[in-house]
Amino acid sequence: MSSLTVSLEDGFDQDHVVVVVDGVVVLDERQVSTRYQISLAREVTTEVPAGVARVGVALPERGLESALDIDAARTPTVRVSVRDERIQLQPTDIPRHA
Amino acid sequence: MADRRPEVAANQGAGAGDATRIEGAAESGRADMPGRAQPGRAQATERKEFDRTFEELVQHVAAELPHFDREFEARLGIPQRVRRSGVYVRRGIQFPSGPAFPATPLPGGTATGQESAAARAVEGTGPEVTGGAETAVVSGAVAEAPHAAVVSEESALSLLREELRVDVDGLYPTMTVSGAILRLFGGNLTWIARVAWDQAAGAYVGPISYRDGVSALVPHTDIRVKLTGSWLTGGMKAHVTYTGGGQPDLHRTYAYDRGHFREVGIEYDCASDATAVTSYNLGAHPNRPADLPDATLTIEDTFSRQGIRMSNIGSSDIIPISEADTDQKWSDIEMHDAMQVHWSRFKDQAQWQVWTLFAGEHEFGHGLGGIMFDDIGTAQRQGCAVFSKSFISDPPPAGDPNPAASVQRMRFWTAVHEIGHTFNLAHAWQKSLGTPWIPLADEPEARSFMNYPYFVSGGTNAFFANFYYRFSDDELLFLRHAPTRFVRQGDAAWFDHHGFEEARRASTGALQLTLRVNRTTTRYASLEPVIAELKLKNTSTVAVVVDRYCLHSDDLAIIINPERAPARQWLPYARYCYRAEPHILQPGQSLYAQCFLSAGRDGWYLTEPGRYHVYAALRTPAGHALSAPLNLQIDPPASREDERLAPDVFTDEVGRVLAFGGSRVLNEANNTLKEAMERLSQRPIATHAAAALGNIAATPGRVLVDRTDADRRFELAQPAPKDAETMIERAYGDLNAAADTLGHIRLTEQVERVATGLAEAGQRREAAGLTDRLAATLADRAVLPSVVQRVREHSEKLTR
Repeated sequence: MSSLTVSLEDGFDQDHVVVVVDGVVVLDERQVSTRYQISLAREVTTEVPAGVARVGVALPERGLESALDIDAARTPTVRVSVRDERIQLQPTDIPRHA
Repeated sequence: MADRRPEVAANQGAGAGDATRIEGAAESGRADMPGRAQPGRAQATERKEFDRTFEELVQHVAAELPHFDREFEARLGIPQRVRRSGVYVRRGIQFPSGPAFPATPLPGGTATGQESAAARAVEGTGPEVTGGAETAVVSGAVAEAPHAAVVSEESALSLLREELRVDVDGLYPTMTVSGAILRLFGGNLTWIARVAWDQAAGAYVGPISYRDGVSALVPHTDIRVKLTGSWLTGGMKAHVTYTGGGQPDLHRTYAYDRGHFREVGIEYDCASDATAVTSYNLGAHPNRPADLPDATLTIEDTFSRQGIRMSNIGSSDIIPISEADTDQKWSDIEMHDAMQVHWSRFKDQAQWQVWTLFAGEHEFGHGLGGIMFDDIGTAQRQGCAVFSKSFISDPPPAGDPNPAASVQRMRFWTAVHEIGHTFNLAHAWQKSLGTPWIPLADEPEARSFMNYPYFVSGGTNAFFANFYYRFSDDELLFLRHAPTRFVRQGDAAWFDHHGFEEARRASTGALQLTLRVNRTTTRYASLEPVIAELKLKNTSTVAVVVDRYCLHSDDLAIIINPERAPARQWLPYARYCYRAEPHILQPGQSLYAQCFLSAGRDGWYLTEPGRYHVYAALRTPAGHALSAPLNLQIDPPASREDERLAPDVFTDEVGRVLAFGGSRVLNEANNTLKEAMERLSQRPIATHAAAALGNIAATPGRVLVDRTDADRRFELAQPAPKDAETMIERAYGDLNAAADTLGHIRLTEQVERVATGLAEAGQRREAAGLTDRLAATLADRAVLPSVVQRVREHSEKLTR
C-alpha cells in the first residue's frame, strides 16, 4: 500500500468539491476555498494499493470534473487547481506549502 | 564614511546563521558630544538638518554598496554614482521673504523657473543632470487646484502634501515615477507613470498609466521629470511638468526627502521550542550566482536595499510552547492570540509594522513551512509565522556541498517569503488570480522570494543558482508605488474596506443598518438580478424618531465595489420625493425596504462574474448608520445561451422593467424577457422575467397613448388572464425558490398585487390559494409574524 495525498490548491472559492480515488469518495465538502497565502484549500490523504490509482476531482455546482491515473509510489501527491474553469491535476513528489 | 555593514560582517567571520547586525555610523552620528553647550533654536535646527542630511547620505551610500565599482571606490574613496531615486515632497509655499507665487500653468511647456548650470554629478554616469538654483516660484504652491488657496506654510501643511516617488536608478529600478496627493479637502490621488530617459529633453518622460482616487487632481496624461541638484551642491529637486489631457501644462517642483519608498518596523518573537533565523551569509553555499556578494544579509537588509526601509524595533519575546496548547502545534487562532499578547506594537488598525513568530510546527503538519496567518478580522496581514520543525529544516538531498547552509538558506527564504505576504504580495504563479491591483501575468519561473524554489524548472538547485535575494520587478512596482492601502499591513486590499469597517465599528448610534439577502447563499447565477433588503433597527433602549421614508430617500447611499473594478455608487432608477414623516421606532423595532441592486440610472452594476462588496450608509437625525458589507458572488455564464442573451438582458430597458416589476410599453425589453423564460426556463432569470411579465398580464393598468400630437390620454389596459396563467405558474409555482431570488418584500408585494388582479377578474379561488401559499412560505422562512398575518388577512378578503 502507498499513501496518496490530494492537495486542493489554487482557484477554489466556496466550492462543493468531491474527490474520488479508485471509485471511493475520499472527500465531499462544501464551501471549500483557497487560502492564497499558502496556496491550499484542503488536503486529504488516503491509502492506495500498489500500482496505478484513478484520481477524480469534481466541482458539481460549477459543472467541472477531471481525472488522472497516478502511481503513488512515484508521485505520492496530486496537486489540484482550478484555472479558467478547468481543473488541473498535476502529480508531484513535493507536498509542501509556505 | 559609514561602516560597510555587509563587508564588516563578513570580515568578522560571521557564520551562516549569526543574526549579527552591525551598527552603522548613522547611529553613532547622532550621539551627543559630552560637554557641548546647549545650542540656540536656530543652531539646533541647523544641527538637526545637518544630522538628517548626513544620515541620509550614509543610508544612501550604504544602500548602494553591492553595486559599487570597488576598484573605483578604493581609488577615489567616494561613491561612483549619486542615486536620485527616492521620495520627493511638496508641502506648500515657501516664504523666504516675499509673497508666495502660485505655480502658474506653463504655456507651450516652457519652464518658468531659472535653471543655472551647475557641476554635473559624476562624469559618464549616463543621463546628464544639472544643478538648479532654487526659486520661490518653484517652491510649490497649490493655487492651480481649485479651492485650495494657501496663505501660510502651517496651513499649507494642514491642507496639502504631495509625494513624488522617483524610481529610475539604484538597485533594481522599475523606471517608474509615481505620485500621491493627500489633501484634507478635495480627495486623494495616487498616479503612476512608467518612464524612460529622453536624451533630447534631458528628462525622464512617460505616460500616466494608473490612477487611484480623484483623477481630477492630475487630469494630465504624461509627465516629464528633470532631476537636479546633488549631495555636493545641496538640495536635490525633481521638476515635473504635467502635460496632455487637453490641459495646460503644469509645472511643480518637489524637494528630495528620503531614499526609501516605505518605512516599516518589524518585531521577532520566538517560541520556546523553535529557533529564529533572521540572516543568511550569501556566500555560505556554493550554489549561487557567481557575482552574488559574499556578505551576510539580514531580513531587514533584504527589504531596505530594495527601497522598503525595515527596522527591527527590538523587544523580542520567548513565547512558551504551552501557548500552542497541549499538542504543541500552533493553530491560526493560537498565533493570533500570541500576536496580541506578545507583539509590543499590536493595534487593530493599519500601520507599517510587522510581527514575525518563529515557531516549531503548525497543526497542519510537517508540510507547512510558514504562513501569513493573519487573514481574519479587520486589520489583517500584520503577522506571519515560520515553522522550524517543518520541511524547511529537512536536510537537502545527499551530495549537497553544504547541507547546513542549505537549510539556513531555506529558513531565511521562508521568513522573507512570509513577510512578503504581509505586504500583500501573492505567490509568483498566482499573480493573475485573486484581486491584482493592475493586470499581472503569472511568473512561475521568477527568481523571487514569492516563488517556491522547488516549483521552478530544475527545482531548488536551479532556483538558487540564479537567485539574487530580491523581489521581481512587478513585486517591486507594487511595494514601492501601489496605493498605500494595498500594501500597508492592516490595511484593506481595495476601497478602503478597513476604513469603512472601522467607522462602522466605531459607530455608537442607536440605529443599526443591515443590508442582506433573504437566502442562505450570497452566490448568484449568471443573469440573475440581485434584490437586497435593508433593515434599520433601533438597537437602543429608548424610542428613536426617524423619517418613515428614510430608506427611500437621498439620505441613503449604497456603494457597490467589484473586486476587479472601481467602486460605484448605486443610483436607483426612481427617486421618491416624500414629505418627511416622523416615525417612532420603539426599541427593537425596524423599518424595511428592498433595493434592486443589479441596475440603476447609470447602468448595470453586477454583470461580470466575480466578487462584489456592497455597503450601505444612512444619514438620520439620530446619527449615521453604516451596514456591514454584503459580500456577493456572481457566477460565470453557465451556458452559451447565457452568453448570447447577456447583451440583451443588460440593457437600460430590461433593467427598468425588472426593477419596477413590469412594463406595458417597453416591448423590446419584454421580448427579451420572454426569450429568457423560454430559453433559460429553469434559471432564476426566468423567475424574474415571468414575474415581470405575469404582473402586467394579471392586472389592469393605464398606458399613456399619443393618438395625435394634440391628443394624449391614458387608456385602460385590461389584464390578459390566459397569458398571465403561464407566467404566474412559472414565477410563483415554487414560492420558496421565488423568495430566494426575489426576496421577501418584493415577493410579497408582487404576489399580493397579482392576487388582487386575479380576484378582480373573477378568479377569487385562485387568488386566495396564491396568497395562502405565500403566507405559508413566509411563515416557514421566519418572516415577521405581523407580515404573515397581514397576508392571511388579505387572503381572507379575496374570498369574500
